[in-house]
Amino acid sequence: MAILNVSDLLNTMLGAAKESAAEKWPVMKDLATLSFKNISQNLVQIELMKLKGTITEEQSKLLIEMQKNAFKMMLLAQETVGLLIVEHTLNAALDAVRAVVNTAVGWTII
Amino acid sequence: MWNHLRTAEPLRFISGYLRLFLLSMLLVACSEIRLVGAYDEVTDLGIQQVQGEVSSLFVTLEKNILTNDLQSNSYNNFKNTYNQIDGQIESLQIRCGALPKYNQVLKQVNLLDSNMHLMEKFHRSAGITDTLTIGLLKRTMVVSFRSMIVVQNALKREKIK
Repeated sequence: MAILNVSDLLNTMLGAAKESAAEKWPVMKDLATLSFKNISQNLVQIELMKLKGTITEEQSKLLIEMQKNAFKMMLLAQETVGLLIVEHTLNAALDAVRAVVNTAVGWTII
Repeated sequence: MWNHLRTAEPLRFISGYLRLFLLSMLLVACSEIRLVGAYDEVTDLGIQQVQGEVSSLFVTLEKNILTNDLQSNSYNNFKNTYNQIDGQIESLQIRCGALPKYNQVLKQVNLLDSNMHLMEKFHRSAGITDTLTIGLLKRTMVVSFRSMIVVQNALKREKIK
């Protein structure tokens, strides 16, 4: 008989992640929730497949490894988008003072 | 006292110009701040190509199951497909490794490479004979590719700007 269920797993993972990420949680919430939902569904399916005898222990470990990699890829995406936002912000700030600074100094320094 | 001022003034004057020069050099160096490399169409197309190959792989596996042709899903029949995907990912790794500030994208490509090897090992170990397994593998690969597309789209917006 199956023991695991998607919503219980998802809520437990979301609670732990929220606590661990603290103030960074709002930034990663959407993508993380999607990934945890996916992981929860897969864990429940692994249990069902184990009960049906259609998956080996080795295969289930390989699947979990794949899930971890996919999660890391999601975090990298989040991080890269964050870096691009910082990059745009800094460049926008420099753009805003470009004309004033260049005129005042008399050189095109920005 | 005057002698002290006479020597100190030019120094202050030089140091002022030196400061301005250093500030200028810093601003010139920072005239466009880049934390992540610019969008690269070849990399983007390469990722799309790998995604297409992996999607085709899943479609073939799925169709074989639906037509009860489980024999056709044996690992040996897909060895060449895995090798082809391996080659495409390796090309991406080389390209991303050579592009400046492409560390984030390279890390994603390396993780995609790892996931393809894990999937190949999964296939080799006991085969892929039911749609539930394909669903599991497919969902994981979709999350992987979606994350890569998010990055590529973000880089594209930067290029448009």
